[in-house]
Amino acid sequence: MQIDPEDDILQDFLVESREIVDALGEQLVELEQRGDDSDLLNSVFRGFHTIKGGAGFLGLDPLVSVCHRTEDLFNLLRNGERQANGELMDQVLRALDVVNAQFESLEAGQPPQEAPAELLTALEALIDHGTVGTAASTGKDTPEPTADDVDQAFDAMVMALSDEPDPTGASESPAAAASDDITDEEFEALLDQLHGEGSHAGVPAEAEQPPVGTPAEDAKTADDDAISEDEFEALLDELHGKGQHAGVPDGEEAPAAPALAPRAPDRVPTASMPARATVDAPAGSAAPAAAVRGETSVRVDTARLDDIMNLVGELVLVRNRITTLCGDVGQEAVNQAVADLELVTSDLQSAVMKTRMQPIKKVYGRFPRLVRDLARDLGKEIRLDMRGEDTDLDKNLVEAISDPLIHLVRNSCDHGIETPEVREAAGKPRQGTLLLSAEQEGDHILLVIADDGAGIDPKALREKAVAKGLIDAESAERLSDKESFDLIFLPGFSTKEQISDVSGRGVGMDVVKTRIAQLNGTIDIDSAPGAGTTLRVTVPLTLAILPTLMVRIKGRKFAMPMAVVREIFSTDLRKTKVVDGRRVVVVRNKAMPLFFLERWLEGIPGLDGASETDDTDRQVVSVMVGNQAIGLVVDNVLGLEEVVIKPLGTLLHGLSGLVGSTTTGDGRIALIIDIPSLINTYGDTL
Amino acid sequence: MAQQQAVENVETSQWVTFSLAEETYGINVMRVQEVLPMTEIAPVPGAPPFVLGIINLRGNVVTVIDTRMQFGLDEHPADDVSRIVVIETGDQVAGILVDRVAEVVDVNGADVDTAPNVGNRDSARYIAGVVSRGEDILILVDVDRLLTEDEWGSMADL
Repeated sequence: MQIDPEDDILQDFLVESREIVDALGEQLVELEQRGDDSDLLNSVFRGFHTIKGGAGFLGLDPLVSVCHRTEDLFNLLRNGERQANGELMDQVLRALDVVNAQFESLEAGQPPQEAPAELLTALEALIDHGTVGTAASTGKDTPEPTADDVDQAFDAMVMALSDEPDPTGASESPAAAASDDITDEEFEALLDQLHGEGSHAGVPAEAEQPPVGTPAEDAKTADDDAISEDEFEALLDELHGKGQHAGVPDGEEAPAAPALAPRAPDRVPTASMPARATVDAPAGSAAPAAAVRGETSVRVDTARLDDIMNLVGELVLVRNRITTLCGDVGQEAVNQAVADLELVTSDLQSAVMKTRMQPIKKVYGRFPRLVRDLARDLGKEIRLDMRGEDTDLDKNLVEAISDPLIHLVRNSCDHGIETPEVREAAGKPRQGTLLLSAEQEGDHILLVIADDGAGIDPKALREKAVAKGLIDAESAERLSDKESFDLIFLPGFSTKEQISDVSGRGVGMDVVKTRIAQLNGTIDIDSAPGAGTTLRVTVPLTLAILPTLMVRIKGRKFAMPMAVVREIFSTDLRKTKVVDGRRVVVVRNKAMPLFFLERWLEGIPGLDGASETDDTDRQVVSVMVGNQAIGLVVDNVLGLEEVVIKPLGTLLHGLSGLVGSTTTGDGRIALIIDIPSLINTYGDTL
Repeated sequence: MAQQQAVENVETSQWVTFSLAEETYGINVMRVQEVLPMTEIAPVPGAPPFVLGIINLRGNVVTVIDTRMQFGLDEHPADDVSRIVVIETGDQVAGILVDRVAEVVDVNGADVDTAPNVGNRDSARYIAGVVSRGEDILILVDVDRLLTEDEWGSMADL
């Protein structure tokens, strides 16, 4: 089959399905805790159903076949015919992995791979017998006899109700049947009937939760794909015959299910979902609400948002210029208008900013599955506690923070939390807890990863660092416990002797720290041996605006990211010492090496002016590079300014010592210094 | 008259002419985004020598190239008539600093001669052809070659 990745319908399907698949991953792990939650079961069922519907329309058969079986299985689960046990969840998670892989091939423009036959058989076996049995070698758990007894009794009941010869094939709910096999006319007739009979009781919200285990529900599950209109009507009659007012919402589940799939409000209606399209139009009482909500969002290319952001930034600059000019004119009316302009531009700026925000759930959503899998692999019991998933941050940041966070979570699971036996011996509950939280703190986001595991022994860290030759024994002695924890961020430091499969694949904490520093964030570690480790990561709300310290060097303005700036002081150069060829100033009894930034600009045309400075009173900006505080000598410190980062463009891309540039209030350009890179490249000459 | 010719002859193209030292050069008008008056160019430490610096063009950063250096000419301080011609190559935008921008002229493809071989001067590789206009000649600049892959590549190495 030919896959055209440019196809709009396919694109819409992919984007929409991705959201569902992401949500499913989270929901499935949640199911392991709350296997009998009918809301959860329903939404997983609907998730697979929606993907199946779209895939069927696009003719993506491999996707359909795996989703179809999983959906069938969940139909049984939500009807209480099966219990979600470890064996079943393993297979379902595998199915989700397969679906994920299929989406990846689709995104790459490849036809999706057929799901492994063994998985399909296993799923079928689960549908038929409630156990994988011999069908798949991976099945370990023994079947639960109680569940089977229930099943048999249930099967008998289903048989009696529906006259269907083969209850195992009885899998599709009317919801699925309606979208698959009924013609439009039939469907509309059906809907007419529904509304004719009971729109008075049609509370859409209830449609999502049919009473589980009532005969009405049982009867539905017995219907096959090939349900005829007569059969369906008979069924409806039966439903209404039971005299339940809930019967109407029940019946309406058919049209409402695809429309009310989870996160419907986030989606843009697309033509790719014929099932929903037909439903939205005629479904009367249930659908309008969903349809209206669906249309409130629009997908926009982030590049377009960046453009808008850029223009708003320019508008702010123009506003600043006007403000300055108006100070000279000094007319009341003009000043008033300018004041209004200021308000509006500020609001506009924050409004545009908000369009780029995404909840951190995007990243956190992966963790339940990740932690579950890690816990299984490592033979540990870990409970994941997530808080503040709705905290918004810049889209680019959400993506950029993802890898470092995954690494930290892996570390906590692998090195932090102990095995159940060890925990019990230490008098702690068998199950370890990993807390992941996110909250906004002023202009930045605080992410906390805390475990109640073994913690870190600062003494061991110091010894290790000395043994690895990272610091000398004498300076190790002087480190406080808190400072010792920072040792793990040194390059070449790994706390475990053995490199495990999970973390420690050569990517150390130093890489995590560097990555976070690149995002203008910070990471801080605290630990108590035996009680656990807490990692605090702060990142700015957005990457588009950077708080900087403006300084002047040789008459030019330069911006330093505030994240690394520790303090500003002035010093008398005559009182500094020279150690190993470098000037050093003593601050609070610690030697701080000095770097003279004017030397960086020497010999550059247009920058050969002399610094108008006086050696007795030089401004020093102290910054952190790695774990070392250094002093950068500048001509003047101008103050704090929030700037919009402008990349330098292709020609100057990758230049050492510079992050980018920005335009200042007077329309001039200020370069933004990348301090670690500057010191690495030019440090010896400064 | 000139317009008429342009319609009839698809070979006719329009060129923005500018001068550097004593010579007149032309850049295809389709490649010129705009012509800016001389503005403050912010020098960039660590940039290759032929990059004068960057300017702020309505919020976008544009790199300005020292065209005189590229053409092997002597330095000349920028003055009131100096212009920055913003040109596009592919998805890149760059500015070239020139002494003066003159006019837009029509050039008939048939009038373009290949560049006389003047040895291995740097400038030779940027020349697409020459057009004689009475006493003077107009040197047509190949913008793509002025900012060639080699050039970008060598910059990336720096």
